[in-house]
Amino acid sequence: MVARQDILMSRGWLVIALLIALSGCGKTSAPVSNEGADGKPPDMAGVWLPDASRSEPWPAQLPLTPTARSALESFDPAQQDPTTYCMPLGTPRNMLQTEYPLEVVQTPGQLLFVVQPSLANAEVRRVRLDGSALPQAPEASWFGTSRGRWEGATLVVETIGLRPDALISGNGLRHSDELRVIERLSIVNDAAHGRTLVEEIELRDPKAYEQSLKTKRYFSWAPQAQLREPAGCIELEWIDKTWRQRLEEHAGADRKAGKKSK
Amino acid sequence: MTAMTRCAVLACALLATLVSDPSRPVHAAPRVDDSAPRPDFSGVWLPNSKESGRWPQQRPFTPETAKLQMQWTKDTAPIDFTRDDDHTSCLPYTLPYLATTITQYPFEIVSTPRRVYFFTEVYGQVRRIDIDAPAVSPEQLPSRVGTSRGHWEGSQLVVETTHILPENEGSRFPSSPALKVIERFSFVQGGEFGKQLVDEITIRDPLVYQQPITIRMVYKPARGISVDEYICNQDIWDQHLDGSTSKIPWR
Repeated sequence: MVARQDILMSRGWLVIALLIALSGCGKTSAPVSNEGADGKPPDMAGVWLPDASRSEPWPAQLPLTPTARSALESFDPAQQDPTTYCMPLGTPRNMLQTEYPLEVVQTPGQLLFVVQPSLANAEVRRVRLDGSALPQAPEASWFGTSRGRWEGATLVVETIGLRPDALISGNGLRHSDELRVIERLSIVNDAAHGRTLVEEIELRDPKAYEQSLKTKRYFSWAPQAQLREPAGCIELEWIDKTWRQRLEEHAGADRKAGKKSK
Repeated sequence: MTAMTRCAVLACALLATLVSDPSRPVHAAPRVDDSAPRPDFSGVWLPNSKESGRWPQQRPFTPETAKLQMQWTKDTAPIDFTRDDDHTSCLPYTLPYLATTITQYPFEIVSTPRRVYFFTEVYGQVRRIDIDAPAVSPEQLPSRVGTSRGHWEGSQLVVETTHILPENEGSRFPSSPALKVIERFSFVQGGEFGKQLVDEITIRDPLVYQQPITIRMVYKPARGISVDEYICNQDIWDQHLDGSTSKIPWR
């Protein structure tokens, strides 16, 4: 049996979200090429690390509707960022973020994107590839309802049914209940960056944006990356709530009993 | 030569042939049929509460663990489960409880050649089982789902999980860093749809239990059911947006 302190210490270590075996992230010497040129869908399965240095910033002047602009200008992260309350990032913020690895699980019938920013909130996006159409009005959720299709070597994913209380980014960029996310994913190999998953993201939302917003994210192939289960918001909150209360109660009981507290 | 003598001679000849066969191993390992088709466990599953096993009523705790539990209970009494239960407070499960709990929530298995995934709806947990992967590094950090290695023995998937975050003596399922969970997954005939998934679980934790504990879990196909989002603390955020105070006493 381990002492409680040891457990808490080991949990503290879990804050380290990822250790990377750098040897696995080597560059390939192949010339620029797109995988899937042979007509077969490329294999996107595995772990990819966001390359923040290549992320495309949003345009300086965002084409927001007056309502969306007002919401952005009055944004209060303490009150309006769901992650402050241990909520998920939600889609598409979980794909736009550049902090946590992206794991792709690929089968012929479905593709899953897994991002795990905190212990209790593994964000699993399920993309059906069975040719079925998106439902008309799915129930709003954090990760949305998605369908995907292969256009040659490019995977096109459309997602709707996203909760409007989720943010697009931590600076308060929002969307409405009409958001439609269109992602185009492909794999590019080049000498400079190695095997890279390139994601073009388009956000269409006539209630919030006067024109669709577009950006790009790049993810480096990291076959040796070891995924960690990070200690998260919930766990820290629980430790704080339960154990701090307990310790205070015991200290109080000890004082009442006339014992000296250390 | 009588029939009995003939049989004895034949038996001796056969034995001599076997002993002298250089290609035959002296101590043959249990035979595993590698050519057996490997079943695909992919799909959505629900625990079959009627057919699944349970933890023993009296668990064989080591005297040290029993003593620690008594002390913990004494120190923390009265225990208030509305506040002291970590799962009620949205902390996810650890193994082996994650595998032995009988819940109304489904889980999905997604099989890929090198990695088998378990996606549980409750707490949105992800188990990753690496197939025929190198041994787990001793420096691996512990986690609630542990680190799993799997290999096929015929049509059974055998999974060993170690590096599981220990649960302290106050937990209903205390565990130590020595915990090893061995699972054998296979299909059996039966159930509503003719086929069920069985997980024969062996829990070895010599610092907590004097003997291994075995539990046989049975899962039924969850036809027409999908694994959906599970945001345990959603109510906290909803109440914040509503501007209402918590309706849940322990929050």
